[in-house]
Amino acid sequence: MNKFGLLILLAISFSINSCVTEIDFPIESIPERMVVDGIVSTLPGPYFIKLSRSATFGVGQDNVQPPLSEAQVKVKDDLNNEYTFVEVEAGTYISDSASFRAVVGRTYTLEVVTSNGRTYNSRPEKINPVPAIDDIRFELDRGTIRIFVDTKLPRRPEGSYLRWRTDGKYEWLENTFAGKVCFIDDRIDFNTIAVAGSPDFADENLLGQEIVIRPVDKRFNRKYAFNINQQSISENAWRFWRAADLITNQGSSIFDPPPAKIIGNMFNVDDPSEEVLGLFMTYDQSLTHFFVSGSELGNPPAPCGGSPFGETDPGCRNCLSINNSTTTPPDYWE
Amino acid sequence: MNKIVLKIICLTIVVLSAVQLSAQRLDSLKIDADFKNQSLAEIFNKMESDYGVDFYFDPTLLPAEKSDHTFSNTPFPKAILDLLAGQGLGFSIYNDYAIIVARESELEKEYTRDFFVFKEQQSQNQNQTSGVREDIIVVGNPDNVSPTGKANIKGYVEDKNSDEFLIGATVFAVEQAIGASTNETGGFSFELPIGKHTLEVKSISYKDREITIQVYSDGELRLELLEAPVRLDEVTVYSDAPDQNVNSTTVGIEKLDIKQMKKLPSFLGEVDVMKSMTLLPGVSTAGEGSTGFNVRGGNVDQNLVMQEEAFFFNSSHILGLYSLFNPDMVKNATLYKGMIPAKYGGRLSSVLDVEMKEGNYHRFSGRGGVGLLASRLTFEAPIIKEKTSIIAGIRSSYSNWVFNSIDLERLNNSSAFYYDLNAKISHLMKNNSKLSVSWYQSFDRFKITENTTFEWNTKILNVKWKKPLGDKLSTSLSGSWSNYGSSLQDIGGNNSTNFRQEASYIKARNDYLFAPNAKHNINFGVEAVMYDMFPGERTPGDNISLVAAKELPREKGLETGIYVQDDISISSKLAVSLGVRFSTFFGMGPDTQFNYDPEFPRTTGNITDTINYASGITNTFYGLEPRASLRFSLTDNASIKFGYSRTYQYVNQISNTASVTPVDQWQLSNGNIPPQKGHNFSLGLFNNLKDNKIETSIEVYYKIIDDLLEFKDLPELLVNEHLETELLSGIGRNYGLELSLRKKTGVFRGWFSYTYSRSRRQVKGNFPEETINQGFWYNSNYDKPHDITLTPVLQLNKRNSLSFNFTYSTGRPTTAPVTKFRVDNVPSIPVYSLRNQFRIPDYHRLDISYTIESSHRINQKWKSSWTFSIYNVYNRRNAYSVYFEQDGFSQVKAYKVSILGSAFPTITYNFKF
Repeated sequence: MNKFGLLILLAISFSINSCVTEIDFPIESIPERMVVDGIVSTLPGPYFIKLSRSATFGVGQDNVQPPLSEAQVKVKDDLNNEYTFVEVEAGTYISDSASFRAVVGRTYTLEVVTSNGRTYNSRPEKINPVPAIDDIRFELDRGTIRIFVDTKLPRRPEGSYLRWRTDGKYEWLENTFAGKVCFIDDRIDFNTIAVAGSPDFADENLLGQEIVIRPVDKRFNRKYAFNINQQSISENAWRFWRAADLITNQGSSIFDPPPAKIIGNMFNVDDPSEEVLGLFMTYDQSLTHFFVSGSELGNPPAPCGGSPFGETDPGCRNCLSINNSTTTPPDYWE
Repeated sequence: MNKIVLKIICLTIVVLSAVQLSAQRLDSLKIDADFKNQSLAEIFNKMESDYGVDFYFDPTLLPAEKSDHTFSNTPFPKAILDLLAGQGLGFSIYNDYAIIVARESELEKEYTRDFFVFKEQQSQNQNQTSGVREDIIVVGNPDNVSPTGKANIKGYVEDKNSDEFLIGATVFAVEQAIGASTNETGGFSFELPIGKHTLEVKSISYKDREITIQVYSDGELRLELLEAPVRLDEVTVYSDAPDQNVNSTTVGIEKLDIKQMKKLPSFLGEVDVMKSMTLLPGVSTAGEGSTGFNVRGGNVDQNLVMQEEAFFFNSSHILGLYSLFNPDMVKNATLYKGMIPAKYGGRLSSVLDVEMKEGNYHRFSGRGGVGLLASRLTFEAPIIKEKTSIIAGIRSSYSNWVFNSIDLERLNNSSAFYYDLNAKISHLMKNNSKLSVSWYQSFDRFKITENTTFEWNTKILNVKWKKPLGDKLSTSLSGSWSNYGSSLQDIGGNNSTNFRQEASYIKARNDYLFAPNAKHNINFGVEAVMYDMFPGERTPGDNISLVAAKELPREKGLETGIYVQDDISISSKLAVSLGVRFSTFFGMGPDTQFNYDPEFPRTTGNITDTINYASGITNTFYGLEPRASLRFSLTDNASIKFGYSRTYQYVNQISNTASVTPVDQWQLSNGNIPPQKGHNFSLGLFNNLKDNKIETSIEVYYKIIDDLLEFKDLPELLVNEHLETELLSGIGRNYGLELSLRKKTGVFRGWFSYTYSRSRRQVKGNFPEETINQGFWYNSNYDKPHDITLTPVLQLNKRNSLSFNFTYSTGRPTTAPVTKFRVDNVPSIPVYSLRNQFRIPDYHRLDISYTIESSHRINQKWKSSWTFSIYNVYNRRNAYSVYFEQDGFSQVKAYKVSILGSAFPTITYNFKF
């Protein structure tokens, strides 16, 4: 390369290589706000409503959400039935599962009256039936497994909105003479937000919607089950999650829109300008188990190996020592 | 040939003395003579001495043979005819003393006394000095001296460095006291006696020149002038008067010609109109990589950026690293940021009017440059000499090659490519009218990662006709067509999307300039723009994409303006300019508009009516826009000025990103999106020091904007037929103070500007969803209170100059997460602050640029210069934007994005011929 070329290389590589740098960004604190985290679904209860207060935080700081106790919490439906929730631990309120199970077609509203007398309501949220999952498949892509589903976004005047929550369960063979097999819960990164709404799609058929990505590691050595919850959520919830997805997954592109507040569906009845965080979600849900065996994934490495005496991993000496582990296969296990 | 001439001349000298004595009537002279065995030359010699006449001839034409001739009382002309018979030669008698013998075909010329006097001088000169002196310019053919003794000198005057022809330059022949000034093509002509003359050539803002010419016959003369400031220790004269900044009526006007821009530090090796403008107080950008520029806290779309009579929808290459103007095609650029003359309308903040050069009417010339990232070439030439000229230029980057030749994964996935081409034909017609036709075309492709590609292109056709209607009135008529298209391809699995939009217009205008007397200068005219917009289309990006195709209907609108403005000079101290513009906008069908229930937030769920217009006018808006300015002179060198503009904007760019992107849609006003309106007040104090060598100014401004467009949080802007549900209407207040100090001449010169500028917004709707920041005032995206620009230039000598550019500005406002919360086990959803509550880090940067020009010799044909520049000398990683990421489940970290995050050296070789 001649001198000229070297100069170009120098110039360009200097300039473009270091586009993103971590910086200090002092942030002043804001007054605390109420946070609502509640779900009412068509699954059997009890349902949980969690109330807390947002905490002061800044870049580089953790936040702690102090619970909000002694509130009166109830859910009303469009037939004027009222279901009261009771506080079972600080900030956590549960319904009576015997008297309250949400059903498709009803509209539910959450009402919270705090100990200082403020009343908060949710927007009315209607539960629409969840469509079935027509097909599930996976793709291996550079050491990760991606799960895709085919389903439908039924045409409705108020639109159709879906959300997926997926967790996993896998088999684990310990390296002892007993050779126990454990079934271990795998918590998939809850930051994964997967939603779809009919305004974004022209067709009723939603094909190849990606819902989760997972690195393929030793957990996939034997058999892995993706437990896919498909939920039919409301438009408000869909907007909330889509905004959350946009904001949390926002990258460094200069063309990203500026981040902003995520509007939930809770508001102060007397002072609509008060900012209330969180979401009261209602949905119908279907659960599907999708199994992937190690052989389909090119036989990922076994978690334990070699001499049983040489194992240092406690999970290889006794698989029950792993969190959320059991030797009883779940009833859906194939 | 020289030899022949010389012989004639020798004859002349010998004979001249005799001429004085004997003035006979040759016609009646009778000859008695007997020539034996003599050549014609010998016979003529004999006759000269016997009869006191002079013979002029070329000895080689005469036959060498000797012969016998006898004359007895023969009339002199008859004798000569006899002598020349059969030779193909003839003769003519001049002033009764000279007989010119020449080929018969040559004899039609009338030779004057001046011719012979000159011939004598010429021969004396030739005897005295051998060789041609360099400082004498020869006009005509020395071998074909004009027999009338007079020659028609045609010529033209050019700027030596830019080749731009100079209009209104004077050329004065000192001894003859004859002069002429150059016309619209830079040309002049007058008649001069043959011989040596001293010419004085002058043009405002140029160094006077005195040259000596030697005129032989009709000929052409190219005179070059050097711009005054290039000479050291020279008092500078400007094309506008030196105290123009003090004495013009307009406040907040900045005029830069391309020569001034070329003396400013280059940006990445290139002279650039818009980058030069950002050195001025009150003009800024959102940072590197941002399209367009911001004037006095206004949005990018509030600037009317014009080339000739057409305007741009996007004026940037590579997202703002360069502007669309080819510097070799630009003559000058004027930015109106305070009072906007009534002639212009349709934008709130400013007008940038870029005037293009005309091609050279006299000769072929060209110029260009070769740089690391891009190259350019421009040529100009007469098509019909002195009547029709063409100038055409092309620029193109090859940074794709640069990116691809480097083995870095990150770079291989990015690319930037652009080109633009310009052509302009100008034709001078009878009655001093002028017709010009120009074409402009540009294209950009910018790929950020392997997934995201922007493309945009602009095409402009412009036709303009100018004609004087008598001494006091002139008119111009112009028509423009323009098309802007942009697209975005975003590849990424199911969500792969192609997006495309277009904006076109046809524009016509007719302007008049009427100057009834020295006190009034009246402009008036009409203008109409027919818009044809395609707001957008979304299509699946590839076969696996699930994105639904969607296309929005085209939108049409007609914007018109009629205006009059009178610049009145009331006294030497007081001048005012009063104008008014009446603008209208008609939305045109077919169109669909939605009515929303005013009792509820504007959402698609609250549509009460859908109105379909098949054709005709769908909406009408109009506005009366007074414009006024006043100048009061405090002293000869100081004045105070006031300006006011009312402006309406009927077409807006809908942009919600940190930087305006090429695909941001242009939206016409409609029933749900009213036009933005502005009041713009400016007050300034202007003072020139040291014979206008130093210019200082202080300006303050205050802007009020109504029906300002703002956006809801996280709006859906692309391909949204209910766009109005994402828009909010607010008010704006921009105000600030600008200080400027400029030293334009001398070894050490430069600019200093300081701007204090605020840009504040308030959006207070009827519903919380339609209110931003709870209805309180907040900073706009372009609020940068402090902005300092310092541009010292050191002219080391005629050929070497060193310039610096330092700029500092407060960081732009941004929105940052202030807390986070958990919902349904999603551990941390960030909660962002009020809009624009925080600021990104401050921006500062130093650039250095060193230019070496080739020598200033007058007759050098190929002239070149090298420019070495370093952008961002001290490696500052200026933040373009700041974003936040969660570290695992707990901590939030802030990151800044830098576009040109380190020193960037460039070399550019510029040439002209």
